[in-house]
Amino acid sequence: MKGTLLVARSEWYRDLRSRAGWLLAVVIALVPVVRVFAWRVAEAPDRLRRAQSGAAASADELAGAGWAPLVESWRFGLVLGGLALLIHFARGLAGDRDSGIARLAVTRSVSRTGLVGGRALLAPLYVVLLVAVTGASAWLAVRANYGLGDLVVDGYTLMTAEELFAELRRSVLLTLPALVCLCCAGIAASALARSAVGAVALATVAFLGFDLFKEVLGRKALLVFSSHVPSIFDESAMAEMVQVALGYSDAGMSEQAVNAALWLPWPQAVLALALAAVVVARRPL
Amino acid sequence: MAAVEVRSLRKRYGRNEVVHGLSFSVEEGAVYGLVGPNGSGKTTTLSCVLGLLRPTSGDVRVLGEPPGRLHRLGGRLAVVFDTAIAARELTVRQNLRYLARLNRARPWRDEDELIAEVGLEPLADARASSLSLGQRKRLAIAGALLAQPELLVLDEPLSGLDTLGVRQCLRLFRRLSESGVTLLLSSHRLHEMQEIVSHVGVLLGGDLRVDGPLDEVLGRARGCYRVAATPLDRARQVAEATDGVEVLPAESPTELRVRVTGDAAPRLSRALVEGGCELAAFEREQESLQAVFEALVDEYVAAEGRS
Repeated sequence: MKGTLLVARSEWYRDLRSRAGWLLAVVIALVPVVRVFAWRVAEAPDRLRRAQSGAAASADELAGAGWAPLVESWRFGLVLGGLALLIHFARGLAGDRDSGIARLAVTRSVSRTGLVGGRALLAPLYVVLLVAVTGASAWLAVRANYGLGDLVVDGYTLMTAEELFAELRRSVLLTLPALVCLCCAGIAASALARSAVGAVALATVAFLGFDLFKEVLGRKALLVFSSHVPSIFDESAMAEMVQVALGYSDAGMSEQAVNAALWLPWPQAVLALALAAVVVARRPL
Repeated sequence: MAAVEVRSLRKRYGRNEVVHGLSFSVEEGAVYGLVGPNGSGKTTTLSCVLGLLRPTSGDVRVLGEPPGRLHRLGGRLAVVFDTAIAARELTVRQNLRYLARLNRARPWRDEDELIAEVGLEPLADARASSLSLGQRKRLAIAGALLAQPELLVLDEPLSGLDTLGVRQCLRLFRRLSESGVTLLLSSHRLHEMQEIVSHVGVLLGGDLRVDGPLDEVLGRARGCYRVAATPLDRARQVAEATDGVEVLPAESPTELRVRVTGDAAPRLSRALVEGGCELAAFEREQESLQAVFEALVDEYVAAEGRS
Protein backbone atom coordinates (compact mmCIF):
# COMPACT_ATOMS: atom_id res chain seq x y z
CA MET A 1 0.00 0.00 0.00
CA LYS A 2 3.13 2.20 0.02
CA GLY A 3 2.14 4.32 2.97
CA THR A 4 -1.49 4.84 1.93
CA LEU A 5 -2.70 3.69 5.32
CA LEU A 6 -0.05 5.78 7.06
CA VAL A 7 -1.27 8.90 5.27
CA ALA A 8 -4.90 8.09 6.00
CA ARG A 9 -4.11 7.53 9.68
CA SER A 10 -1.95 10.63 10.07
CA GLU A 11 -4.40 12.89 8.20
CA TRP A 12 -7.24 11.58 10.34
CA TYR A 13 -5.16 12.35 13.43
CA ARG A 14 -4.46 15.87 12.14
CA ASP A 15 -8.07 16.59 11.16
CA LEU A 16 -9.37 15.43 14.54
CA ARG A 17 -7.13 17.96 16.25
CA SER A 18 -7.86 20.87 13.95
CA ARG A 19 -9.92 23.60 15.61
CA ALA A 20 -11.09 24.90 12.23
CA GLY A 21 -12.22 21.39 11.29
CA TRP A 22 -14.30 21.03 14.45
CA LEU A 23 -15.78 24.48 13.99
CA LEU A 24 -16.77 23.62 10.44
CA ALA A 25 -18.28 20.31 11.58
CA VAL A 26 -20.38 22.12 14.19
CA VAL A 27 -21.55 24.69 11.63
CA ILE A 28 -22.51 21.94 9.19
CA ALA A 29 -24.35 20.07 11.95
CA LEU A 30 -26.29 23.24 12.72
CA VAL A 31 -27.30 23.86 9.10
CA PRO A 32 -30.22 21.36 9.12
CA VAL A 33 -31.43 22.76 12.45
CA VAL A 34 -31.49 26.28 11.03
CA ARG A 35 -33.22 24.99 7.89
CA VAL A 36 -35.97 23.29 9.96
CA PHE A 37 -36.43 26.50 11.90
CA ALA A 38 -36.63 28.48 8.63
CA TRP A 39 -39.15 25.94 7.29
CA ARG A 40 -41.29 26.39 10.39
CA VAL A 41 -41.18 30.17 10.07
CA ALA A 42 -41.94 30.05 6.32
CA GLU A 43 -45.01 27.85 6.72
CA ALA A 44 -46.50 29.90 9.58
CA PRO A 45 -48.47 32.31 7.33
CA ASP A 46 -49.89 29.38 5.35
CA ARG A 47 -50.91 27.60 8.56
CA LEU A 48 -52.60 30.78 9.77
CA ARG A 49 -54.42 31.30 6.46
CA ARG A 50 -55.69 27.72 6.47
CA ALA A 51 -56.84 28.04 10.07
CA GLN A 52 -58.69 31.27 9.29
CA SER A 53 -60.43 29.71 6.28
CA GLY A 54 -61.49 26.73 8.40
CA ALA A 55 -59.28 24.31 6.45
CA ALA A 56 -56.72 23.62 9.13
CA ALA A 57 -54.63 20.50 8.75
CA SER A 58 -56.10 17.37 10.29
CA ALA A 59 -54.34 15.45 13.05
CA ASP A 60 -53.36 12.76 10.50
CA GLU A 61 -51.86 15.37 8.21
CA LEU A 62 -49.94 16.95 11.07
CA ALA A 63 -48.65 13.53 12.17
CA GLY A 64 -46.75 13.14 8.90
CA ALA A 65 -45.83 16.79 8.34
CA GLY A 66 -42.20 16.29 9.36
CA TRP A 67 -41.03 14.33 6.32
CA ALA A 68 -40.66 17.33 4.02
CA PRO A 69 -38.64 19.46 6.46
CA LEU A 70 -36.58 16.40 7.41
CA VAL A 71 -35.57 15.66 3.83
CA GLU A 72 -35.14 19.31 2.89
CA SER A 73 -33.01 20.16 5.92
CA TRP A 74 -30.90 17.02 5.47
CA ARG A 75 -30.47 17.88 1.79
CA PHE A 76 -29.50 21.42 2.75
CA GLY A 77 -26.87 20.05 5.15
CA LEU A 78 -25.52 17.82 2.40
CA VAL A 79 -25.32 20.75 -0.04
CA LEU A 80 -23.13 22.80 2.29
CA GLY A 81 -21.36 19.77 3.72
CA GLY A 82 -20.54 18.50 0.24
CA LEU A 83 -19.08 21.86 -0.66
CA ALA A 84 -17.06 21.85 2.57
CA LEU A 85 -15.72 18.37 1.78
CA LEU A 86 -14.78 19.49 -1.72
CA ILE A 87 -12.85 22.44 -0.28
CA HIS A 88 -11.26 20.28 2.41
CA PHE A 89 -9.96 17.72 -0.06
CA ALA A 90 -8.91 20.39 -2.57
CA ARG A 91 -6.94 22.23 0.09
CA GLY A 92 -5.38 19.09 1.61
CA LEU A 93 -2.61 17.96 -0.70
CA ALA A 94 -2.01 21.41 -2.22
CA GLY A 95 -1.77 22.94 1.26
CA ASP A 96 0.71 20.26 2.29
CA ARG A 97 2.73 20.98 -0.82
CA ASP A 98 2.71 24.71 0.05
CA SER A 99 3.79 24.08 3.64
CA GLY A 100 6.29 21.34 2.76
CA ILE A 101 4.56 18.58 4.71
CA ALA A 102 4.18 16.59 1.48
CA ARG A 103 7.99 16.70 1.07
CA LEU A 104 8.42 15.51 4.60
CA ALA A 105 6.00 12.62 4.05
CA VAL A 106 7.78 11.27 0.96
CA THR A 107 11.12 11.24 2.77
CA ARG A 108 9.48 9.03 5.41
CA SER A 109 7.48 5.90 4.74
CA VAL A 110 5.11 7.35 2.15
CA SER A 111 5.30 7.17 -1.63
CA ARG A 112 3.86 9.89 -3.83
CA THR A 113 1.01 7.58 -4.78
CA GLY A 114 0.41 7.07 -1.06
CA LEU A 115 -0.14 10.82 -0.65
CA VAL A 116 -3.11 10.56 -3.01
CA GLY A 117 -4.29 7.12 -1.91
CA GLY A 118 -4.31 7.99 1.80
CA ARG A 119 -6.55 10.96 1.27
CA ALA A 120 -8.81 8.98 -1.06
CA LEU A 121 -9.18 6.38 1.67
CA LEU A 122 -10.58 9.04 3.99
CA ALA A 123 -13.18 10.21 1.45
CA PRO A 124 -15.81 7.47 2.14
CA LEU A 125 -15.31 7.90 5.88
CA TYR A 126 -15.89 11.66 5.71
CA VAL A 127 -18.90 11.23 3.44
CA VAL A 128 -20.49 8.73 5.83
CA LEU A 129 -19.76 11.07 8.75
CA LEU A 130 -21.29 14.00 6.87
CA VAL A 131 -24.42 12.04 6.05
CA ALA A 132 -24.70 10.75 9.61
CA VAL A 133 -24.14 14.12 11.30
CA THR A 134 -26.48 16.10 9.03
CA GLY A 135 -29.07 13.31 9.18
CA ALA A 136 -28.96 13.11 12.97
CA SER A 137 -29.18 16.84 13.39
CA ALA A 138 -32.07 17.11 10.89
CA TRP A 139 -33.91 14.24 12.61
CA LEU A 140 -33.49 15.79 16.08
CA ALA A 141 -34.66 19.21 14.87
CA VAL A 142 -37.67 17.73 13.09
CA ARG A 143 -38.64 15.46 15.99
CA ALA A 144 -38.77 18.51 18.24
CA ASN A 145 -41.24 20.26 15.93
CA TYR A 146 -43.08 17.73 13.77
CA GLY A 147 -44.36 14.20 13.58
CA LEU A 148 -42.95 11.54 11.25
CA GLY A 149 -46.06 9.43 10.67
CA ASP A 150 -47.77 8.48 7.42
CA LEU A 151 -47.94 11.12 4.70
CA VAL A 152 -51.58 12.21 4.51
CA VAL A 153 -52.88 14.86 2.09
CA ASP A 154 -56.54 15.88 1.99
CA GLY A 155 -57.47 12.82 4.02
CA TYR A 156 -55.69 10.37 1.69
CA THR A 157 -52.64 8.42 2.85
CA LEU A 158 -50.13 8.89 0.03
CA MET A 159 -47.35 6.87 1.63
CA THR A 160 -46.86 5.12 4.92
CA ALA A 161 -44.03 6.10 7.24
CA GLU A 162 -42.23 2.83 6.42
CA GLU A 163 -42.45 3.51 2.69
CA LEU A 164 -41.19 7.05 3.16
CA PHE A 165 -38.34 5.86 5.33
CA ALA A 166 -37.35 3.25 2.73
CA GLU A 167 -37.51 5.88 -0.02
CA LEU A 168 -35.43 8.31 2.03
CA ARG A 169 -32.84 5.63 2.77
CA ARG A 170 -32.59 4.84 -0.93
CA SER A 171 -32.20 8.54 -1.81
CA VAL A 172 -29.42 9.01 0.72
CA LEU A 173 -27.64 5.88 -0.52
CA LEU A 174 -27.85 7.21 -4.07
CA THR A 175 -26.01 10.40 -3.11
CA LEU A 176 -23.12 8.55 -1.42
CA PRO A 177 -21.15 7.53 -4.55
CA ALA A 178 -21.42 11.06 -5.97
CA LEU A 179 -20.24 12.60 -2.69
CA VAL A 180 -17.24 10.25 -2.57
CA CYS A 181 -16.45 11.14 -6.17
CA LEU A 182 -16.73 14.83 -5.26
CA CYS A 183 -13.97 14.31 -2.67
CA CYS A 184 -11.84 12.56 -5.29
CA ALA A 185 -12.41 15.47 -7.67
CA GLY A 186 -11.17 17.72 -4.86
CA ILE A 187 -8.01 15.61 -4.59
CA ALA A 188 -7.50 15.88 -8.35
CA ALA A 189 -7.87 19.68 -8.17
CA SER A 190 -5.39 19.65 -5.29
CA ALA A 191 -2.84 17.84 -7.42
CA LEU A 192 -3.41 19.95 -10.52
CA ALA A 193 -3.29 23.41 -8.94
CA ARG A 194 -0.05 25.18 -8.01
CA SER A 195 -1.24 26.30 -4.59
CA ALA A 196 -3.90 25.59 -1.99
CA VAL A 197 -5.80 28.75 -2.90
CA GLY A 198 -5.65 27.79 -6.57
CA ALA A 199 -6.86 24.28 -5.80
CA VAL A 200 -9.86 25.49 -3.81
CA ALA A 201 -10.71 28.01 -6.54
CA LEU A 202 -10.36 25.39 -9.28
CA ALA A 203 -12.52 22.85 -7.44
CA THR A 204 -15.32 25.21 -6.45
CA VAL A 205 -15.46 27.06 -9.77
CA ALA A 206 -15.60 23.76 -11.69
CA PHE A 207 -18.28 22.31 -9.39
CA LEU A 208 -20.47 25.40 -9.16
CA GLY A 209 -19.88 26.20 -12.83
CA PHE A 210 -21.14 22.77 -13.83
CA ASP A 211 -24.09 23.19 -11.48
CA LEU A 212 -25.05 26.45 -13.20
CA PHE A 213 -24.81 25.09 -16.72
CA LYS A 214 -25.82 21.43 -16.36
CA GLU A 215 -29.32 22.26 -17.54
CA VAL A 216 -27.89 22.92 -20.99
CA LEU A 217 -26.72 19.31 -21.19
CA GLY A 218 -30.20 17.94 -20.56
CA ARG A 219 -30.29 14.20 -19.75
CA LYS A 220 -26.60 13.91 -20.60
CA ALA A 221 -25.83 15.79 -17.38
CA LEU A 222 -26.76 12.60 -15.51
CA LEU A 223 -23.59 11.02 -16.88
CA VAL A 224 -21.50 13.39 -14.76
CA PHE A 225 -21.20 12.52 -11.06
CA SER A 226 -21.72 16.14 -10.09
CA SER A 227 -25.39 15.95 -11.14
CA HIS A 228 -26.02 13.46 -8.35
CA VAL A 229 -24.48 15.59 -5.62
CA PRO A 230 -26.97 17.69 -3.61
CA SER A 231 -26.30 21.20 -4.88
CA ILE A 232 -27.83 24.61 -5.43
CA PHE A 233 -29.60 23.64 -8.66
CA ASP A 234 -30.29 20.22 -7.31
CA GLU A 235 -31.18 17.23 -9.47
CA SER A 236 -29.97 14.63 -7.02
CA ALA A 237 -32.00 11.83 -5.46
CA MET A 238 -32.44 14.01 -2.36
CA ALA A 239 -34.11 16.75 -4.42
CA GLU A 240 -36.47 14.15 -5.85
CA MET A 241 -37.16 12.90 -2.33
CA VAL A 242 -38.20 16.40 -1.21
CA GLN A 243 -40.93 16.30 -3.87
CA VAL A 244 -42.03 12.89 -2.62
CA ALA A 245 -42.10 14.05 1.02
CA LEU A 246 -44.18 17.08 0.04
CA GLY A 247 -46.70 14.79 -1.59
CA TYR A 248 -46.10 16.35 -5.05
CA SER A 249 -44.71 13.23 -6.63
CA ASP A 250 -44.69 9.53 -6.01
CA ALA A 251 -43.10 8.50 -9.26
CA GLY A 252 -39.57 8.50 -7.82
CA MET A 253 -36.45 8.55 -9.95
CA SER A 254 -36.24 6.84 -13.30
CA GLU A 255 -34.34 3.56 -13.48
CA GLN A 256 -31.78 5.26 -15.70
CA ALA A 257 -31.20 8.04 -13.16
CA VAL A 258 -30.90 5.53 -10.31
CA ASN A 259 -28.35 3.47 -12.19
CA ALA A 260 -26.43 6.60 -13.17
CA ALA A 261 -26.31 7.82 -9.57
CA LEU A 262 -25.31 4.41 -8.27
CA TRP A 263 -22.64 3.35 -10.75
CA LEU A 264 -21.28 6.24 -12.81
CA PRO A 265 -19.46 8.13 -10.01
CA TRP A 266 -17.12 5.19 -9.28
CA PRO A 267 -15.18 5.11 -12.57
CA GLN A 268 -15.07 8.91 -12.48
CA ALA A 269 -13.61 8.80 -8.98
CA VAL A 270 -10.97 6.30 -10.13
CA LEU A 271 -10.17 8.55 -13.09
CA ALA A 272 -9.79 11.60 -10.85
CA LEU A 273 -7.48 9.70 -8.48
CA ALA A 274 -5.41 8.30 -11.34
CA LEU A 275 -4.99 11.81 -12.72
CA ALA A 276 -3.99 13.09 -9.29
CA ALA A 277 -1.49 10.24 -8.83
CA VAL A 278 0.14 10.88 -12.21
CA VAL A 279 0.44 14.61 -11.57
CA VAL A 280 1.81 14.16 -8.03
CA ALA A 281 4.32 11.58 -9.29
CA ARG A 282 5.68 13.98 -11.91
CA ARG A 283 5.54 17.37 -10.27
CA PRO A 284 8.24 18.62 -7.88
CA LEU A 285 6.99 18.63 -4.29
CA MET B 1 29.46 1.25 2.51
CA ALA B 2 28.46 4.78 1.57
CA ALA B 3 25.27 6.10 3.14
CA VAL B 4 24.85 8.50 0.22
CA GLU B 5 26.37 7.92 -3.19
CA VAL B 6 26.02 10.57 -5.90
CA ARG B 7 27.50 9.94 -9.34
CA SER B 8 27.60 12.45 -12.22
CA LEU B 9 24.46 14.22 -11.03
CA ARG B 10 23.13 16.83 -13.44
CA LYS B 11 20.03 18.96 -13.06
CA ARG B 12 18.76 21.28 -15.74
CA TYR B 13 15.82 23.70 -15.60
CA GLY B 14 15.02 24.32 -19.24
CA ARG B 15 18.34 25.40 -20.79
CA ASN B 16 19.85 26.39 -17.47
CA GLU B 17 21.98 23.65 -15.95
CA VAL B 18 22.29 24.32 -12.23
CA VAL B 19 24.17 21.18 -11.19
CA HIS B 20 27.01 20.06 -13.46
CA GLY B 21 27.81 16.40 -12.98
CA LEU B 22 28.38 16.25 -9.23
CA SER B 23 29.96 13.18 -7.69
CA PHE B 24 30.48 12.65 -4.00
CA SER B 25 29.81 10.08 -1.35
CA VAL B 26 29.00 10.25 2.33
CA GLU B 27 30.48 7.36 4.24
CA GLU B 28 28.55 5.76 7.07
CA GLY B 29 29.16 7.57 10.34
CA ALA B 30 30.54 10.68 8.62
CA VAL B 31 29.32 14.23 9.08
CA TYR B 32 29.37 15.67 5.59
CA GLY B 33 28.93 19.41 5.16
CA LEU B 34 27.82 20.71 1.78
CA VAL B 35 28.71 24.39 1.69
CA GLY B 36 28.31 27.06 -0.94
CA PRO B 37 26.82 30.49 -1.56
CA ASN B 38 23.19 31.10 -2.51
CA GLY B 39 22.35 29.66 -5.90
CA SER B 40 25.32 27.30 -5.90
CA GLY B 41 23.03 24.26 -6.15
CA LYS B 42 23.05 22.94 -2.59
CA THR B 43 19.30 22.67 -2.16
CA THR B 44 18.85 21.38 -5.72
CA THR B 45 21.46 18.70 -5.02
CA LEU B 46 19.77 17.70 -1.76
CA SER B 47 16.35 17.71 -3.46
CA CYS B 48 17.68 15.32 -6.11
CA VAL B 49 19.23 13.12 -3.42
CA LEU B 50 15.90 13.00 -1.58
CA GLY B 51 13.87 12.28 -4.70
CA LEU B 52 11.99 15.59 -4.55
CA LEU B 53 13.44 16.61 -7.91
CA ARG B 54 14.12 14.28 -10.81
CA PRO B 55 17.78 14.57 -11.89
CA THR B 56 18.40 15.25 -15.58
CA SER B 57 21.04 12.52 -15.45
CA GLY B 58 23.26 10.73 -12.98
CA ASP B 59 22.86 8.15 -10.32
CA VAL B 60 21.95 8.60 -6.66
CA ARG B 61 21.71 5.99 -3.91
CA VAL B 62 20.59 6.72 -0.35
CA LEU B 63 21.26 3.83 2.03
CA GLY B 64 21.31 1.68 -1.08
CA GLU B 65 17.93 2.84 -2.42
CA PRO B 66 17.31 5.10 -5.44
CA PRO B 67 15.62 8.44 -4.64
CA GLY B 68 12.21 7.33 -5.93
CA ARG B 69 12.05 4.55 -3.36
CA LEU B 70 13.13 6.28 -0.19
CA HIS B 71 9.79 5.44 1.43
CA ARG B 72 11.11 1.88 1.65
CA LEU B 73 13.71 3.08 4.15
CA GLY B 74 11.07 3.76 6.78
CA GLY B 75 12.62 5.47 9.75
CA ARG B 76 16.23 4.87 8.61
CA LEU B 77 16.26 8.24 6.86
CA ALA B 78 15.13 11.54 8.38
CA VAL B 79 15.18 15.00 6.84
CA VAL B 80 15.03 18.51 8.26
CA PHE B 81 14.14 21.05 5.59
CA ASP B 82 15.27 24.67 5.65
CA THR B 83 11.72 25.96 6.00
CA ALA B 84 11.19 24.13 9.31
CA ILE B 85 8.06 22.28 8.29
CA ALA B 86 5.34 21.70 10.85
CA ALA B 87 1.57 21.28 10.80
CA ARG B 88 0.60 24.75 12.01
CA GLU B 89 -2.74 23.70 13.50
CA LEU B 90 -1.14 21.12 15.81
CA THR B 91 0.78 21.62 19.04
CA VAL B 92 4.45 20.72 19.39
CA ARG B 93 3.60 17.37 21.00
CA GLN B 94 0.84 16.64 18.46
CA ASN B 95 3.23 17.45 15.61
CA LEU B 96 5.60 14.77 16.86
CA ARG B 97 2.74 12.26 17.11
CA TYR B 98 1.59 13.22 13.61
CA LEU B 99 5.10 12.72 12.22
CA ALA B 100 5.38 9.41 14.05
CA ARG B 101 2.29 8.23 12.17
CA LEU B 102 4.00 8.97 8.85
CA ASN B 103 6.74 6.43 9.58
CA ARG B 104 6.48 2.71 9.29
CA ALA B 105 9.39 2.04 11.62
CA ARG B 106 8.96 1.27 15.31
CA PRO B 107 9.53 1.97 18.13
CA TRP B 108 9.23 5.72 18.60
CA ARG B 109 11.30 7.71 20.97
CA ASP B 110 9.33 9.33 23.75
CA GLU B 111 7.98 12.73 22.65
CA ASP B 112 8.68 14.43 25.95
CA GLU B 113 12.26 13.22 25.90
CA LEU B 114 12.70 14.63 22.39
CA ILE B 115 11.03 17.90 23.30
CA ALA B 116 13.44 18.25 26.21
CA GLU B 117 16.38 17.36 24.00
CA VAL B 118 15.70 20.30 21.68
CA GLY B 119 14.76 22.65 24.53
CA LEU B 120 11.06 23.09 23.76
CA GLU B 121 9.59 21.89 27.09
CA PRO B 122 7.79 25.17 27.90
CA LEU B 123 6.16 25.09 24.45
CA ALA B 124 5.15 21.43 24.36
CA ASP B 125 1.45 22.32 24.22
CA ALA B 126 1.77 25.47 22.11
CA ARG B 127 0.47 25.38 18.55
CA ALA B 128 3.14 25.36 15.84
CA SER B 129 1.57 28.48 14.34
CA SER B 130 2.66 30.43 17.43
CA LEU B 131 6.31 29.29 17.27
CA SER B 132 9.18 31.37 15.93
CA LEU B 133 11.25 30.08 13.01
CA GLY B 134 14.00 28.95 15.37
CA GLN B 135 11.52 27.10 17.57
CA ARG B 136 9.93 25.43 14.56
CA LYS B 137 13.39 24.42 13.40
CA ARG B 138 14.00 22.72 16.72
CA LEU B 139 10.62 21.01 16.43
CA ALA B 140 11.60 19.78 12.96
CA ILE B 141 14.86 18.40 14.35
CA ALA B 142 12.95 16.65 17.14
CA GLY B 143 10.64 15.17 14.51
CA ALA B 144 13.61 13.90 12.55
CA LEU B 145 14.95 12.06 15.58
CA LEU B 146 11.70 10.24 16.34
CA ALA B 147 12.65 6.98 14.68
CA GLN B 148 16.36 7.00 15.57
CA PRO B 149 17.51 7.36 11.94
CA GLU B 150 20.73 6.00 10.44
CA LEU B 151 21.01 8.97 8.10
CA LEU B 152 19.95 12.50 8.92
CA VAL B 153 19.83 15.05 6.11
CA LEU B 154 19.60 18.68 7.20
CA ASP B 155 19.16 21.60 4.83
CA GLU B 156 20.38 24.82 6.49
CA PRO B 157 19.72 23.48 10.00
CA LEU B 158 21.24 26.46 11.79
CA SER B 159 19.63 29.34 9.94
CA GLY B 160 17.10 31.22 12.04
CA LEU B 161 18.49 29.90 15.33
CA ASP B 162 19.83 32.17 18.05
CA THR B 163 23.28 31.62 19.54
CA LEU B 164 21.92 29.34 22.23
CA GLY B 165 19.91 27.35 19.70
CA VAL B 166 22.96 26.97 17.47
CA ARG B 167 25.07 25.71 20.39
CA GLN B 168 22.31 23.31 21.41
CA CYS B 169 21.99 21.96 17.87
CA LEU B 170 25.73 21.57 17.40
CA ARG B 171 25.91 19.62 20.66
CA LEU B 172 23.02 17.49 19.48
CA PHE B 173 24.61 16.82 16.08
CA ARG B 174 27.89 15.92 17.75
CA ARG B 175 26.10 13.50 20.05
CA LEU B 176 24.24 11.96 17.11
CA SER B 177 27.45 11.56 15.19
CA GLU B 178 29.11 9.91 18.17
CA SER B 179 26.22 7.46 18.37
CA GLY B 180 26.86 6.43 14.76
CA VAL B 181 24.28 8.49 12.87
CA THR B 182 25.46 9.71 9.46
CA LEU B 183 24.78 13.40 8.90
CA LEU B 184 24.56 15.25 5.60
CA LEU B 185 24.20 18.99 6.18
CA SER B 186 24.08 22.03 3.97
CA SER B 187 24.81 25.38 5.53
CA HIS B 188 26.16 28.87 5.03
CA ARG B 189 27.51 28.96 8.58
CA LEU B 190 31.05 27.85 7.87
CA HIS B 191 32.47 28.55 11.32
CA GLU B 192 29.91 26.29 13.00
CA MET B 193 30.19 23.68 10.26
CA GLN B 194 33.93 23.46 10.84
CA GLU B 195 33.21 22.48 14.44
CA ILE B 196 31.20 19.40 13.55
CA VAL B 197 31.88 18.14 10.01
CA SER B 198 34.31 15.36 9.27
CA HIS B 199 34.06 15.80 5.52
CA VAL B 200 33.22 18.80 3.42
CA GLY B 201 32.16 19.56 -0.13
CA VAL B 202 32.29 23.11 -1.48
CA LEU B 203 29.76 23.85 -4.20
CA LEU B 204 30.25 26.84 -6.48
CA GLY B 205 28.16 27.52 -9.55
CA GLY B 206 26.83 23.98 -9.60
CA ASP B 207 30.31 22.40 -9.44
CA LEU B 208 31.84 20.61 -6.50
CA ARG B 209 35.13 22.50 -6.24
CA VAL B 210 36.45 20.66 -3.21
CA ASP B 211 35.40 17.37 -1.67
CA GLY B 212 37.18 15.44 1.04
CA PRO B 213 38.00 15.06 4.73
CA LEU B 214 38.00 18.35 6.64
CA ASP B 215 41.75 18.18 7.42
CA GLU B 216 42.56 17.73 3.77
CA VAL B 217 40.33 20.61 2.75
CA LEU B 218 41.77 22.91 5.42
CA GLY B 219 45.20 21.98 4.10
CA ARG B 220 44.37 23.99 1.01
CA ALA B 221 44.69 27.11 3.11
CA ARG B 222 48.03 25.98 4.57
CA GLY B 223 50.85 28.28 3.54
CA CYS B 224 48.57 30.82 1.89
CA TYR B 225 49.33 34.53 2.25
CA ARG B 226 47.61 37.71 1.20
CA VAL B 227 50.07 40.28 -0.13
CA ALA B 228 49.10 43.94 -0.60
CA ALA B 229 51.89 45.66 -2.52
CA THR B 230 52.30 48.48 -5.04
CA PRO B 231 52.80 48.36 -7.89
CA LEU B 232 50.87 45.12 -8.03
CA ASP B 233 52.14 44.07 -11.47
CA ARG B 234 55.74 44.34 -10.29
CA ALA B 235 54.87 42.40 -7.12
CA ARG B 236 53.30 39.64 -9.23
CA GLN B 237 56.46 39.42 -11.41
CA VAL B 238 58.65 39.16 -8.29
CA ALA B 239 56.41 36.51 -6.71
CA GLU B 240 56.33 34.42 -9.87
CA ALA B 241 60.13 34.58 -10.06
CA THR B 242 60.63 33.46 -6.45
CA ASP B 243 61.26 29.75 -5.83
CA GLY B 244 58.62 27.95 -3.73
CA VAL B 245 55.93 30.56 -4.41
CA GLU B 246 52.74 29.90 -6.35
CA VAL B 247 50.54 32.86 -7.30
CA LEU B 248 46.86 32.01 -6.84
CA PRO B 249 43.86 33.67 -8.46
CA ALA B 250 42.49 36.49 -6.32
CA GLU B 251 39.32 38.52 -6.53
CA SER B 252 40.79 41.74 -5.11
CA PRO B 253 42.49 44.08 -7.63
CA THR B 254 44.80 45.46 -4.93
CA GLU B 255 46.35 42.28 -3.55
CA LEU B 256 47.91 38.96 -4.45
CA ARG B 257 47.20 35.54 -3.00
CA VAL B 258 50.19 33.26 -2.88
CA ARG B 259 50.93 29.80 -1.56
CA VAL B 260 54.43 29.29 -0.25
CA THR B 261 56.40 26.19 0.65
CA GLY B 262 59.37 25.83 3.00
CA ASP B 263 61.09 29.12 3.86
CA ALA B 264 59.76 30.94 0.82
CA ALA B 265 57.67 33.44 2.86
CA PRO B 266 60.58 35.53 4.26
CA ARG B 267 62.42 35.23 0.94
CA LEU B 268 59.37 36.57 -0.88
CA SER B 269 58.91 39.55 1.44
CA ARG B 270 62.61 40.38 1.08
CA ALA B 271 62.45 40.02 -2.70
CA LEU B 272 59.43 42.29 -2.90
CA VAL B 273 61.17 45.08 -0.95
CA GLU B 274 64.40 44.62 -2.90
CA GLY B 275 62.38 44.57 -6.11
CA GLY B 276 61.12 48.08 -5.43
CA CYS B 277 57.64 47.23 -4.18
CA GLU B 278 56.00 49.08 -1.34
CA LEU B 279 54.64 46.41 0.98
CA ALA B 280 51.38 47.37 2.78
CA ALA B 281 50.45 43.90 4.09
CA PHE B 282 51.87 40.40 4.13
CA GLU B 283 49.40 38.24 6.09
CA ARG B 284 49.15 34.53 6.59
CA GLU B 285 45.62 33.20 5.97
CA GLN B 286 43.94 31.26 8.75
CA GLU B 287 43.45 27.54 8.26
CA SER B 288 39.68 27.76 8.43
CA LEU B 289 36.80 26.60 6.32
CA GLN B 290 35.90 30.26 5.89
CA ALA B 291 39.39 30.98 4.47
CA VAL B 292 39.26 27.99 2.15
CA PHE B 293 35.80 28.97 1.04
CA GLU B 294 36.81 32.58 0.37
CA ALA B 295 39.86 31.45 -1.53
CA LEU B 296 37.72 29.14 -3.65
CA VAL B 297 35.25 31.94 -4.30
CA ASP B 298 38.20 34.13 -5.35
CA GLU B 299 39.42 31.46 -7.73
CA TYR B 300 35.92 30.91 -9.05
CA VAL B 301 35.27 34.61 -9.60
CA ALA B 302 38.66 35.09 -11.21
CA ALA B 303 38.09 32.09 -13.49
CA GLU B 304 34.57 33.14 -14.42
CA GLY B 305 35.64 36.76 -14.84
CA ARG B 306 32.75 38.06 -12.75
CA SER B 307 32.09 39.31 -9.28
